Amino acid sequence: MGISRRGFLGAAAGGVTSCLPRFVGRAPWGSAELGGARWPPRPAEHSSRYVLLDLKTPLTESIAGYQRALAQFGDDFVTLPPQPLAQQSACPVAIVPGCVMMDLGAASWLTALLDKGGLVVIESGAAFAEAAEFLAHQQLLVSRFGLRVGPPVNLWPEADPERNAARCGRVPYVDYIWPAPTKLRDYSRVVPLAEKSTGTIGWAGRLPIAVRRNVRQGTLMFLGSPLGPALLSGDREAHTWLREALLAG
Amino acid sequence: MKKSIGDNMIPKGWSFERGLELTKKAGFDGIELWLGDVPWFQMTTGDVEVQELRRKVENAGLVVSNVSTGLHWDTPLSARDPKVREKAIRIVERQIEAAQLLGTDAILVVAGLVTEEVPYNEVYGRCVDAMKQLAPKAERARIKIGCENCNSEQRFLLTPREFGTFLDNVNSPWVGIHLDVGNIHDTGFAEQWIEMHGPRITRIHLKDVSKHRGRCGDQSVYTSLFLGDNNWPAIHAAMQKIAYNGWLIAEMELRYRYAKDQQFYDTAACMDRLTSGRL
Repeated sequence: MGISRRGFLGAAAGGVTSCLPRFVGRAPWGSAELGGARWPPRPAEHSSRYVLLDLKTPLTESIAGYQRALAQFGDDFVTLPPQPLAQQSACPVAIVPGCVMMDLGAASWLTALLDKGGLVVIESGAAFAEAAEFLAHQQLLVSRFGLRVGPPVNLWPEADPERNAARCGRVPYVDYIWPAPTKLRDYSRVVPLAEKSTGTIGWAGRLPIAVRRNVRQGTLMFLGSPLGPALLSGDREAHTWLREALLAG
Repeated sequence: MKKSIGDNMIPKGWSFERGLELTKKAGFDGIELWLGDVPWFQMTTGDVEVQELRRKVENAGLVVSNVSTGLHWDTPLSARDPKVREKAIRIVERQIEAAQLLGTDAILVVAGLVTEEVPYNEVYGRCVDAMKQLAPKAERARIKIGCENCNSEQRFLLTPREFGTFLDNVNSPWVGIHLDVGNIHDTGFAEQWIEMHGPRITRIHLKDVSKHRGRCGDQSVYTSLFLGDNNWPAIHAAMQKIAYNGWLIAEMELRYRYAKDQQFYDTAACMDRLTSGRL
């Protein structure tokens, strides 16, 4: 099939989105069918394109949100706890919703996936964690993925959670600039990147909170403001953004 | 119908016993206990102390009409922080436990709070989940959870049909509506809410509302019975229509500045007029 990756994505943006989930589910990016050669054929024992890594974090809505979104896209996915990951050796995309802590086995599995040219999406849930857990999260990101993040930021320090919250006047959106300019709801407390860097794809005001960068042979996407709850609540733009981001890889 | 009033109406500085005495003397049949809003009934109040509260209520010739709380304004079931949600669930569980100890069968819950920060769809989903989680506990305890319609303050479940859909989604006979006839403001008519929710009403809060005043600073839209814009004859008729025979509970936001005990007498007298239909 003579279609380039760029052409494929162009077609996606051009309005054939209703056909995409089924198509993508059958033909992963980078496969020979799409003209790429970065990803080896998947073994027969595992056919899911996406692994949702269930780390049993307190942000349970996140994983439910990704499950809902992927199901709606029509993509095949599997939700796995960290333990049997070793057997799931071939999957082009791993999503880690609400990530706080992660055992070494899971971290190694993700880095191996990056080594094979896969896409790893880490959604941080650590802004709601205890201080010690957050430090572990910070260390995990820098040691395993080379990603430096700053301490959690409360985007709503002035908000009155009671009756007169309307006075706050904050604009409640994160501005994503990739894969398409999109405004998505912030999630109150976010984990920002430690510094502005190339590959920043999302901003909460002046705070860089989402990044996409090449790590090892693959791509790492880090979301400092959880997206899962918005996906779970049926936010249209969140669904569209996720679909496009996963397609673009 | 039986008359009750909240223990948070007991004038500040008064003891619980003195407040109960006033409540009885003013002609009420029962008292609504507010978890977290009064010094004698906090989350830290143990079972033995709760039983002691019941003994005091019964010694005063009253019963506990229901257990309410204002704690969910600060600790909402719809919070984004899972730890806050856990606390909120624990508050409801404690209400259920306390209701059992106090010999009543209903609690009031403020289910969800829509703010600029936490949008409606998130709040809706979390509240349905929370109520589904709590319903089996309520059933085991034989306690009805009444979600209050705090329409303007919660910015949530703003119409009676919407509230009905919410209860349909929760889908438990142990979760209903604690209907406050003062909270509907100018977005509807209390009598229509009564009519539509009928048997799902766990308790009715009574207060009047000045529909066109608007909340500003410390101004309140709420006022004493018969001073506001509620259509009391229609409310009375709607309660008759659905054969409501449960508790009517006075909930005044504004307190009398002077002669604070007089508010109990005046409120009880207004409630008698309402239930008699002499309006």
